Amino acid sequence: MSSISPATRPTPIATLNERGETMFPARRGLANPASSRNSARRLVVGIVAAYPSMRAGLGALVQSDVNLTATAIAPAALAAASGMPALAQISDADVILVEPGDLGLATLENLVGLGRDEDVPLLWLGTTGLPETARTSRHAGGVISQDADAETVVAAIHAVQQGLSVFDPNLSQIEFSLRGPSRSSDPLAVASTLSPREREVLELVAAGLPNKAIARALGISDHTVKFHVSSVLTKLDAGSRTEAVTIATRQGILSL
Amino acid sequence: MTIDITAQQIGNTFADAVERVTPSLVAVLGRSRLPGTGTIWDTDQTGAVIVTASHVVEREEQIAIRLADDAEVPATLLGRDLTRDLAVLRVDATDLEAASIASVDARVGTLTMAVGRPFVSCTQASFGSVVFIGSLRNRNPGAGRVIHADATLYPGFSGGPLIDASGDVLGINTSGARQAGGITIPADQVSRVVRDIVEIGYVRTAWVGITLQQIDLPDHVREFHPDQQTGLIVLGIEENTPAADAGLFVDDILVTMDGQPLADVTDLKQVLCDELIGESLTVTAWRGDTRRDIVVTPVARPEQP
Repeated sequence: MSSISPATRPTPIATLNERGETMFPARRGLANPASSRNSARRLVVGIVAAYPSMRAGLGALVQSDVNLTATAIAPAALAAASGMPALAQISDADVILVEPGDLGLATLENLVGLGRDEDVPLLWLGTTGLPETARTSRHAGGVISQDADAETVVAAIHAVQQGLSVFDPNLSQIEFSLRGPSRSSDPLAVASTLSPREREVLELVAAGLPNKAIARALGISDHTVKFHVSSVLTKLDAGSRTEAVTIATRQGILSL
Repeated sequence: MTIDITAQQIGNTFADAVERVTPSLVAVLGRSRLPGTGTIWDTDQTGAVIVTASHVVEREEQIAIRLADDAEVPATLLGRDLTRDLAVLRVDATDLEAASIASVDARVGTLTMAVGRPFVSCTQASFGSVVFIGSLRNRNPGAGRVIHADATLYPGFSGGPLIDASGDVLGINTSGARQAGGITIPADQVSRVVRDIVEIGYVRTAWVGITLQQIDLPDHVREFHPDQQTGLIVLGIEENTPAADAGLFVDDILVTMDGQPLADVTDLKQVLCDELIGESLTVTAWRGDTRRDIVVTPVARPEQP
């Protein structure tokens, strides 16, 4: 283990363990169980960022709160976790703090999926490169500005851990639909994720119109209709036009 | 009453019936798997209209039919009725022969054959009788009724006809409608679907302007409807619609319409067939502890868009 001794450097920020993961030292004084006996269990905050220096910085920021402990998650591990059992670090975390810049879309989408599957809220620092799934996932979490100060970050971590959604009004140009944790079927969430054009297309699919007729009715190309239909099927998790219409009717998206 | 007919004669009668309908059967090439069957419903000077099952036509383009002589003819999809799992195709071939449609409705006990031709120049048929005629879920006669016959629908039979002893078409078979297994859409409904799709491009349906979701009936409502576990709660009512005019409110729980139980949203969809446009229908609705019978008059679903 390549740790750096506190004796040679009085204020260590982080150390690396044998797996190459960054470990943050417990805050001074908290290592003593007596001092934390009366406080609740400290929350574990998983930190995902593209570069070790960013992870270290965020780790230090998180641990400025005595109730939080940080664990760094390397993006390479996330890329590899696609389709595999979730990383222990993800399932152990109470909240995951993500700096999405430079992480790449695939990694971010894996992260959204893992967070949802493991029911761990995600807190996004800024919106650079944020995938569509992060905006539409029915999952607790939040988004705050990259410029947020330590107090704001800490407050947001506690809030999302409580199942609340946190949203920085300075980022209001983004449409976010963050929802409470694990509601299996929330029709309004699905409905709100269909764009107005997709809803129009869905209405015409329900009326039994072929793609060509839908294209004529809406004054768009066949190709665009095909694209919208496929998007509607994906969003409704339907295997066919019939299934999409049945699901949408049952969820109160289509009127009778 | 003396019945003087031999088993041989019955067998010959049905073999003749299959032979009679065979020229009106085509294979429908609209999906990557086994083709389905299509039934030639109508012909004119320039071509023919063919009915098949919607689930057989997975593609929207490059659809074709295969005739008895193995010739393949490209077909255009005119429209679908997703509720009844029907699709209507048009081909430009002129020497096709439309099936003969039965002039009387199927009755329980009618001897029938399900006929299909998914494979090259090879008609297949299975024998059975009409077991019951009712809706998919409730087995009540009336709106949205379908024929349940026990003639086996073999792979590729969907879109083919259910015929009677003289080879007349009683309806179109499909195995793709929900959990009901194989069903037959009666010929009079098929004819209306074909007419609407050919004339206006979609199937007219009755509409009340309401969005709903299934809900477990509260105990105090169940007391009055012991046979029903679920109803439909009103999520939304569009302005200037029959539902709004009738005085329905959001959060009302609908239990029956026109005497038909509303246990699933699709039940209402089946009740609202085009025959009910303009008819006054009584809806049993619960608002809190109060039961109300509300009269609603569906209109034709507004033209889209």
